Amino acid sequence: MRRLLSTVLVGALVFGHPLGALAATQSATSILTDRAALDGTVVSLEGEAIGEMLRADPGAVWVNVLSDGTALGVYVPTTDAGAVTVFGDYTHTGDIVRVTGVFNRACDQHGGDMDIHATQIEVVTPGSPREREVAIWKLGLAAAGFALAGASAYQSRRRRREGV
Amino acid sequence: MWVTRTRSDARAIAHYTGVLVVGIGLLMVLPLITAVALGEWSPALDYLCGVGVALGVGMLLMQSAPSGTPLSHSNALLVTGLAWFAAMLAAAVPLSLSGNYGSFLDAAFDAMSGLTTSGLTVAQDLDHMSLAHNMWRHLTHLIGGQGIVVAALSLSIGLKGGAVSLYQAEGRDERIMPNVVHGARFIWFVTAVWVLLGTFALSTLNLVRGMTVVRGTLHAFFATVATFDTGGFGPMSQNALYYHSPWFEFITLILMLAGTLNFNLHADIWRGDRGELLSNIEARALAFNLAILSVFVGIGLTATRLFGTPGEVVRKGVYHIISANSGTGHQTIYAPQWATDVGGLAFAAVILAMAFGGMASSTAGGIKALRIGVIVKGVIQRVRVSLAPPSAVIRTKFHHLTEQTLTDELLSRSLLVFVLYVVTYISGGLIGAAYGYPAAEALFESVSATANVGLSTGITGPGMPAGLKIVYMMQMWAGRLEFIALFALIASIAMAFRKRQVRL
Repeated sequence: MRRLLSTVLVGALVFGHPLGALAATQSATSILTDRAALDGTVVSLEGEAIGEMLRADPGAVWVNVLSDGTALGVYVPTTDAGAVTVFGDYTHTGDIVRVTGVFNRACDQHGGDMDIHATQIEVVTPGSPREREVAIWKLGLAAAGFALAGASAYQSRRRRREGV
Repeated sequence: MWVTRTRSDARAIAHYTGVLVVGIGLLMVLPLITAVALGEWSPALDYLCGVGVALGVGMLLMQSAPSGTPLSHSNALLVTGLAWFAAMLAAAVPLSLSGNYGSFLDAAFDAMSGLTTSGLTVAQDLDHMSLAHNMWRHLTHLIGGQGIVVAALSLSIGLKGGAVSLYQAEGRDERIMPNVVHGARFIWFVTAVWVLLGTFALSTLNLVRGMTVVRGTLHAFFATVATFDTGGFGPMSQNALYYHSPWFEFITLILMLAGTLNFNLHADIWRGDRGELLSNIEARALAFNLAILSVFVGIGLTATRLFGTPGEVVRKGVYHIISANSGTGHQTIYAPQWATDVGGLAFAAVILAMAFGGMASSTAGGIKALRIGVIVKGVIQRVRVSLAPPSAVIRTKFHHLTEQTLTDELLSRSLLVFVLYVVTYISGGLIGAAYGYPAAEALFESVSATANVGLSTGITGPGMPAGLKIVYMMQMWAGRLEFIALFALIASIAMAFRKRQVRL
């Protein structure tokens, strides 16, 4: 009876939306730090989707999620991954996603890589384009460098002409 | 006898250092073009500054002496030592303007790491770094892997008077071709072939997996360059783990092995002489190292019970042993896992693999398989001598490009470099431990820096003490130049100061 109850509970944690969502949200760094204790358990990770969605097997993709300076690979069914549309790069802040799934310190399905097999992924905050300011003062530094190069080239040519 | 540098020596050294800095400036045009093509305007300005500053300072230094000034072998050693430092400063200018580094020291750390093909990084927010800056970081691997002097020779930029001396001073004492310029161009030819093949294979993989053409191709180029040049940088903070792909690991494994191959062996294979690969002492020593350390890492990983199947043990073990032995530094585990999850025998095997290094005259670092092979032959010879009758003459022969006899001079040269590496490995480890890091992790990081590998236990990062950053930079610099060029530079500077003090 106890085994049945625990199986139902673990099943509910892994696959059940309401109970799965109960896992406290953690950063990738804290999951990495507590990797031994969290191995094989359901975790909830919140962070920015970065790079791009990478095809894995038929029916699943990889989404890399960055939080607190650490990025973790999340293995997501293709049908669920469609919600993530903006990925972080130089010109974008990616969607902030909340992932619930089973954490594997060394995943047997994926050659021993550390990963999370998501059972649920939702976009908490949509991503947006990043504004990058162009610092005009840098033009001055570049101009100074080219002026020095020009003056040196002129001096060199003058010396050569004078045969010094 | 210590030779004191004259004023004309100093001028010649400054001139050639300037030539090499100008070369670095010209190469910055590539990330500048990348930035403009991708509409990354802020990085475009960073590279405009980089080109301007490098050309300005380089051309000013070139004024010290007329072009074609002859360069003695000892002055060439100093130019080589100095050029790597000057190149590091020049390469750091655009990186420091990128906003991804906490200080100029951090940018200089990454520039030194890139040029020496180490791959340790202190960049911040790497996952949001521009593609232009990533282009430059990876190009530093390409420039440094082939050699700054080789790069300048190939471009034929004003090294007429000191070409041979500079080529040899950069740690390439073996001539691939009779003419050093042809040799330098052959090195670039081999590199170009491998870079094209690797980029094609990886970009195909990236496109199949859903990356865009631009990002897929650039990521493929970055990974190829970082792998063939045994560098180890990656455009994403997870390094090779970002791709979650056994195919990526397989292709990079081939590139790592190709990168650690002596360019002379590449030449032999190119000429159709594949027998050299089987009979060469260096190839045999490397194969033996890889085999025995793979077994050790396999036993070690199995003992930890972290991985559930033998397939995982082989995949993780072999990848990291080849990554460490070739000096590449790509990793598919997280840095904190080295000390705890990997632990014990596998951890020690990876340190040994890093320490031994790849082949001479390749892009790999470390003690080098040739020296290990020669030292082992030397030990065997001593044992044979001790067991033979007193009248017996014992000669030991080995094959490295030609049939060679083991001499005391060759053995002592190999032992000298071996001792210098080991002393530096241990010293760096002790310094790391003195900063409060666990001794084993500090030793791992120190070996990684000196052997220009790039695997990290997590000590290297933006937050590590500035003093330790400088120590690792010195180790990377010394390891890449195999000590002598750097020692010659330090000795000359010390002599100049001493002379000045006497005058005062």
